[in-house]
Amino acid sequence: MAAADSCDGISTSGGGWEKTVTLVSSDDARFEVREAAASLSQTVRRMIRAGGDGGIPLPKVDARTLSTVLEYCNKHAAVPAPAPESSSAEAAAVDLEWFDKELMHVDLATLCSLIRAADYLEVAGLLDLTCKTVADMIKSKTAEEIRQMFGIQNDFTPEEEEQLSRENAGVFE
Amino acid sequence: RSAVTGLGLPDDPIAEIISRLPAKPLFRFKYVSKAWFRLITDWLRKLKFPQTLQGFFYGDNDGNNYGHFFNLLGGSVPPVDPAFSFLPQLPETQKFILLRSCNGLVLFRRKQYLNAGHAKTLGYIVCNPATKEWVTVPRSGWTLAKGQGDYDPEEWPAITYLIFDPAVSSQFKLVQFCHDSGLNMSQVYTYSSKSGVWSERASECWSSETVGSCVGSAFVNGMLHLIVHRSYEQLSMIVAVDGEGEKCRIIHWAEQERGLLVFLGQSQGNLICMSGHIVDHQTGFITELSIWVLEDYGTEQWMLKDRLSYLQLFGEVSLSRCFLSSPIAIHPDRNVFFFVYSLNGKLVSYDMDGKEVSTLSTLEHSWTSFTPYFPYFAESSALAKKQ
Repeated sequence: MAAADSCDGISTSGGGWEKTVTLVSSDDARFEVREAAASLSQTVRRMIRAGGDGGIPLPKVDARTLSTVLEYCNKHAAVPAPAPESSSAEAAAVDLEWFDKELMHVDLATLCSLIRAADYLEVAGLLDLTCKTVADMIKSKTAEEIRQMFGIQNDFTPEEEEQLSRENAGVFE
Repeated sequence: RSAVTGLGLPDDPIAEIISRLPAKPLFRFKYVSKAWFRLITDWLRKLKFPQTLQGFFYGDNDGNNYGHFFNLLGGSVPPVDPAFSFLPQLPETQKFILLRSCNGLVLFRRKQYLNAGHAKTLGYIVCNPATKEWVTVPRSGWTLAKGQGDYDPEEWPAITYLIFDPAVSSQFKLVQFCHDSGLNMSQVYTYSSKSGVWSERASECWSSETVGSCVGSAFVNGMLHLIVHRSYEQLSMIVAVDGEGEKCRIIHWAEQERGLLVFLGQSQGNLICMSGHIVDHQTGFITELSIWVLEDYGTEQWMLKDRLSYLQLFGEVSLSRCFLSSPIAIHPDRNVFFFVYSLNGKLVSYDMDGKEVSTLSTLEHSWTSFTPYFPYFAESSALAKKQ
């Protein structure tokens, strides 16, 4: 079979071209992304497979959030899987860790948008990263601080609250 | 999907965040709102039951019988701290000895070294490596009658078992079988974390019996099952004991036909044992094991499931005695058995369904003992980092 016949699809060999896809945010911004990076999103991967003309619409993600998600995907898809234990693999892992840390230097509202987007787009690594970051952020807070941070109404009546603390007394600290 | 937060996070990601929180804040965050209460309660319910077998603690030749962890789930970072560095610091003349584990809790004896090679038991410590909680337990106070030797009686000839069943109670119990120097049972003590005291139990029904110590045990149907040897009849049996140290049931074993009981454990809720016929009565060596499952607890129907030779397991004719090559655990959810060969530290598993032997590792450290570990993540009032 001639080599030219196998060009239909992704070709990463020899540093040649890579197939790209266009993603469209809820506010109609268009992002051209390498397919390998976009495919870190299971939702996008399914849409690519389903085919269709033009861009892939992502009505639940705005441009600002999508650009951060794609920054994550581009970085993480760029890393090939080198032999474990090689020094370059170690360096790449350290680099990626730094990148992730930097990416998470955002406020809670942005983190929540990222979590929503990672959940909708099904980017497992990003969902894990963002949820871990929020868990670290909130773990030493009180219940009241949590309500303030997330804008949650305490919907327990005082009677319910008292009953709960009675039931749980002594079982757990 | 309901919005759990004002920032419009749907339930799933909040549940994802909750699953990444340690236990302490979870109990605090239950009161944030009804939606959080529901999500956290669901998550805790999932945690309430112990997870699967995660690996084994084992010891080094530096005299500690713990300090290393063989992780069955793979990965280079052990899921627990095998050095148990969260436990209180001990003076140099004292040491913790890992005794056993039960459904996520681990039992240690605290030993004090005295002059001239003597030692005594100061007490016990029960801990949960997943939550890093611990509690101390006093010694039972068992002493040998005068003239029976100069042992530390709570180290030997006493054997202490831990009973913990999180599906029933957050409290744990200890049962201590105390033998005289002729290895006949002479006293049973029990300890309850709820009362915080040891109690003596009637032991008449145990006369002339010996509880096997390195042959496994099983927690099935809410009872601890042990291999017990009755010296005057020269026979072994399996005895079920409750948390009060009461002998609840005797499951008989036809040793003549089925061979010597070598190991007892449980998988998928059934009692499982391994037996072997002695091929050389001088040395007591066994070359082949039979694997039995008690399929019907009520009628004591043992089913022979498989036969397995030590040649298959270790690739050489290894004559087995407890100290040479021994079964160390049975997987609680699968028909998989674990063995270690002390001559070369080879850790192997045997999958009964696929009839497949796998070498898991050849341990670098000269090992001393193996303790299986099942993580249990919920905090318990019975262990509150207290003295």
